[in-house]
Amino acid sequence: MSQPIVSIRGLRVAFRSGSREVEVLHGVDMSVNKGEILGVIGESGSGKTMTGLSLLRLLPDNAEVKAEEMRFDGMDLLPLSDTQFFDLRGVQMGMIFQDPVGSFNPSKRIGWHFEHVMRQAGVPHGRERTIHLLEDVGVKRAAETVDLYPHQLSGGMLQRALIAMVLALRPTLIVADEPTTNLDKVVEAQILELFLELRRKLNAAIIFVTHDMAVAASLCERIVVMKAGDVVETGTAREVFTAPKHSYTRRLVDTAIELSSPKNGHAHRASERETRAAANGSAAEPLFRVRDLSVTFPGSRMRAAFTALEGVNFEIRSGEILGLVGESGSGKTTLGRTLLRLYEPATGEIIYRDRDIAHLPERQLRPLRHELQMVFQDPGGSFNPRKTMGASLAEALRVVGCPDAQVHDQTVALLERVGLTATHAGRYAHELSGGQLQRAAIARAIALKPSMIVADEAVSKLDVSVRAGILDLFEDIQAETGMAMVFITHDLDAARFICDRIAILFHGKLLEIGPTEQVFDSPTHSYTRTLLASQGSLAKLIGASV
Amino acid sequence: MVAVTETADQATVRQAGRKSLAALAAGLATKLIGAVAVLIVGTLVIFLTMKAAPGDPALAALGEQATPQAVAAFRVQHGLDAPVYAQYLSWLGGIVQGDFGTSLAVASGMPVGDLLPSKLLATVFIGLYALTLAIVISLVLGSVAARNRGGTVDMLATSLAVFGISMPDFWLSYVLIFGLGLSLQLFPTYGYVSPVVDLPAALYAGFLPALAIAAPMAAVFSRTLRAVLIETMSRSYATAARSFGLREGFIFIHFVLRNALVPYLTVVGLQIRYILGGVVVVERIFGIPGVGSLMVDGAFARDFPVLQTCTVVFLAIVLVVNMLTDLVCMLLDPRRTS
Amino acid sequence: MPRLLSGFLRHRTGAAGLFITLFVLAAVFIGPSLLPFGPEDMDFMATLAPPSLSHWFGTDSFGRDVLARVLAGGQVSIFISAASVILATSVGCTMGIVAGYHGGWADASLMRIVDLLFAFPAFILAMLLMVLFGFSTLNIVLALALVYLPIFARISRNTTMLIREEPFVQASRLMGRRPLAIMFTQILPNITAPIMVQASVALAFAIILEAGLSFIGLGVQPPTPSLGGIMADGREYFGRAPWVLTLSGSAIAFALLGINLLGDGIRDMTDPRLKERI
Repeated sequence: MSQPIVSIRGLRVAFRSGSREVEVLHGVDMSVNKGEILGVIGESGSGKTMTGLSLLRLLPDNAEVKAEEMRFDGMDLLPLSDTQFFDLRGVQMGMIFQDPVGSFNPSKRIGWHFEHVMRQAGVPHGRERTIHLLEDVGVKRAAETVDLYPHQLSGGMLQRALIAMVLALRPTLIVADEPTTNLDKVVEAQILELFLELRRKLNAAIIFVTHDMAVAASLCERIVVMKAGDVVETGTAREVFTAPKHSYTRRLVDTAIELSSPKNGHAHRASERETRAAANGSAAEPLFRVRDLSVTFPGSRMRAAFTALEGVNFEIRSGEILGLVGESGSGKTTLGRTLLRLYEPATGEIIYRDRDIAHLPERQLRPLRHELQMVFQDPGGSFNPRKTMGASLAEALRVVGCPDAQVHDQTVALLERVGLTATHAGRYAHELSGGQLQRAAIARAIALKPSMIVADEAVSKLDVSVRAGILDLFEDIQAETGMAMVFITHDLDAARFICDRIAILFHGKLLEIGPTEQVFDSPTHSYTRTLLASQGSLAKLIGASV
Repeated sequence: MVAVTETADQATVRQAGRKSLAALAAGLATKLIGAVAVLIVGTLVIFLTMKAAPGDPALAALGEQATPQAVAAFRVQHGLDAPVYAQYLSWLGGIVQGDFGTSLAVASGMPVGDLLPSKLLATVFIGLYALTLAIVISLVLGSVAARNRGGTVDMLATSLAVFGISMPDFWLSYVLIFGLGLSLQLFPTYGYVSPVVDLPAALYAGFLPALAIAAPMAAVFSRTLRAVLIETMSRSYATAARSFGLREGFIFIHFVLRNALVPYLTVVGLQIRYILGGVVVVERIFGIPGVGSLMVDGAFARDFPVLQTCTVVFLAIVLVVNMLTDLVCMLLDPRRTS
Repeated sequence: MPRLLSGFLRHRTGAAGLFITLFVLAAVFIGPSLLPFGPEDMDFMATLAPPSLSHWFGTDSFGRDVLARVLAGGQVSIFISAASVILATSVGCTMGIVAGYHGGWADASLMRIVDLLFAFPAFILAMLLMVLFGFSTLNIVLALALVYLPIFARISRNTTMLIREEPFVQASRLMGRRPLAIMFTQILPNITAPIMVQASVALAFAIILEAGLSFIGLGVQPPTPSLGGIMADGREYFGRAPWVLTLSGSAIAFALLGINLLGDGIRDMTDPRLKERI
């Protein structure tokens, strides 16, 4: 048993707002050993980020931090003055944030950051040293990068640069707060690799805060599970993932495994659908036929014209769930929105029920619109903040000619259909959780009796524990109504869980399309193989580590 | 080997520098074209508005009892018998050559263009003086308030700012005249010294009028700066900088204040519309012979060439200030040049 | 609404602003009927009398009660400013929402007009229009409205452009609702907060602007009492009777303070980001 570098006991954090005080951490205990990677997992609002920030005294002024014990490397942190703390931060404790773009001063070049941080810490600095550090973390053309501004670099590059800066100061403890959440899967895998290297080089302890169970399983030795400001379970990664003691942990792990394993239900569901399709006559006309579709966004003085999609061909059959999978910038969202004619394509045909709607003017589209619905990524923005759920649903019901006398009953029926209750009709968006909002959004979409729903990353902003519920709901609704569904996601697990067919997009091109199992088991395109390899699904990881 | 990489790097830097310079020049050129377009359309609007105004300038100049012959002669003499578009074009052509027409009443018979240089100097001087005061005051007040948010200093600074925008500038002029001028005998309360003749004396004589214009402006600016600073303070780059051990003072200047400058200056630029109003009234109160005083005289005398000219001049001042703030913002914000 | 009000009362400066504004409105609209003197009543026995119990603000050179004149002038001033701000808000916001929602050429052409108006200094524009078209009350209202119109157009356009991309607006569009319905039911309710904040600022500035015009003699014309006019008179005998100018100016400053604090209150109440931080 090695010696702990950090030990925290009874950590309480409260935020003052006016005369009110809200406690967000209720006595957290945590210890990190030298050279160990400790994973802190939990859902949003569990307080995992606060724990890291309070250790480095980076909380805003209105936060009140109390603890029975807070030690770093044998030193008692509690009596230290702010000035004394300055000498610890950066030099001995480093931090890496979730948003690499926001971590840099937008007005200054990359090199400037290195120069000042290293000078302040009193370590060797200079242009050559910076270039060397950047090269070490895999930044290509480091000599040019030094002179670039943050906005000229990608999120992945900036996260590398940030890690290089931490590396330069050689701290003994690094707190990483969801450092890969904003990155694409392929980049995420590379950055995680970098963290392992960081530990090897510095022999630093790392507190790795994440909501992603698979990431934690692939990286961490020990795990702390947090829920609503409390630590509910601590143990080695293997213990926590294979034999969770607390019921909450068990639910988290089960959900993650269910989502990431293809066999659960999918096979029989697929066969079920095949029989149904056979009954309908599989030779039936497809709902959508997309031919040679290209979408271009016009340039302006600030940016050049941008081709988001190029020469895309595919079909959507009625009653199927088609997944559009790709990383950010692949054009998957653009494709979904173009199908709904929120964008007008530059060229190509979108034949919906034997009619080309690619260039139909808004006025002629309007009567068609309600047949094609969308569920959005951001549950908070999906509803007018000034209207109740009931009012929003009523708006939708009236569009499809529901008589006023029935609006109320129909609203309640819809809410109950998606697992909410009549009381939710009187609530505003800010009074509901993300999962509830997404249910209400589904209710609004089906109120319009659509022939197709496009779900754009509809579960990516939700906590893991509610994701499965929403995915199940999508599946049920789809099976019940027999409508088509386009499921846009960057999450291969979710796609595999729900989709009948999958289309892989990359840089605006459709690389391949086929039945889900076929794409996963025998991908034809090399990019698909890279994408699949980057995905460490929890089931696979636990299987490997056990 | 080292030398080779050095030059390669320098080449990249130089290239990047050239690229951003080119982007800057291109941005500036489009702004300039836009400003000239607004100026030309603006002159047209001014001209048509003057034409649409009720009343005959000939009768206004010659008096109601003027004979028809005299009126006709006046119209021919001032080109009022030509079609409207021809009158506009000849007026615009005149402006381009520095000919703004002849004053009818304020300085009867004198070319308006001859009046302008000294008046423009006075207005620009007092305006810049006030702007400088306002910026200095607001930088101090805004920063102090933002850094001590919620504290007593913040409350004092914030209240001072609310009082500042609640006082009419012309009334404040008299408070200042009464307080600092007449009671304490600290500053002269009337008159104007040309900054070209004697700069220190001009600064001394212009202090009260400049302060009267600056006070409401400073209030608006410091409220803006405080809000923007609080916004930038909460950005994650400030927290990140702290996590790297950078000191508070350094972070405030290079991270917080530096990134607050662009939104702050944008507001400063927009305020020019109101500042010039203050200039007109305050010029009149303190007897400063500027464009504002000239325009008010022209307004009372219904001296249309003078009115027209002053309006164009003020329009041009606004456009120039907007271009300058745009330029500074472009220089300060790398996202707009590279 | 009750929630907003109770929030207001907890917000110290906002509550102060609300009370000052209500007090000023009561004084201006109820006060004159309680005063023994009308704004035109002259008392040649008491010209330029200093403030006293019977004449709280003293009297002017005709022996008229300054307080009565300030209140009467305040009525005119509030009427003119409010009318011009309401006019500017309704026309400007309509322009801005249409431009922001449709984008393209509608946006380009409407915003060029706004840019042009924006290039004219506020006071100069108002002054020019007054001189050219006469000093009637209607003309002052129109001139001030024209001064503030571009601000409202620009703010509502920019916020509309942001909100237009929000999922809930897209959802409404996907229901097949008409643009006009979307603009009024989805967008307008969500841009009222910044508009209201701006309206309170504009109201305060309009009062100053109107007083400034009347002060130099290019606004409301005598015998109609106006705040600017009273102060211009006060300037004439500033040496002998400083209270006329000082007290009438303080009265304006007090009223504006109320409006500005009220505006701050609305801003803090309605901006959730600020609400968290204050």
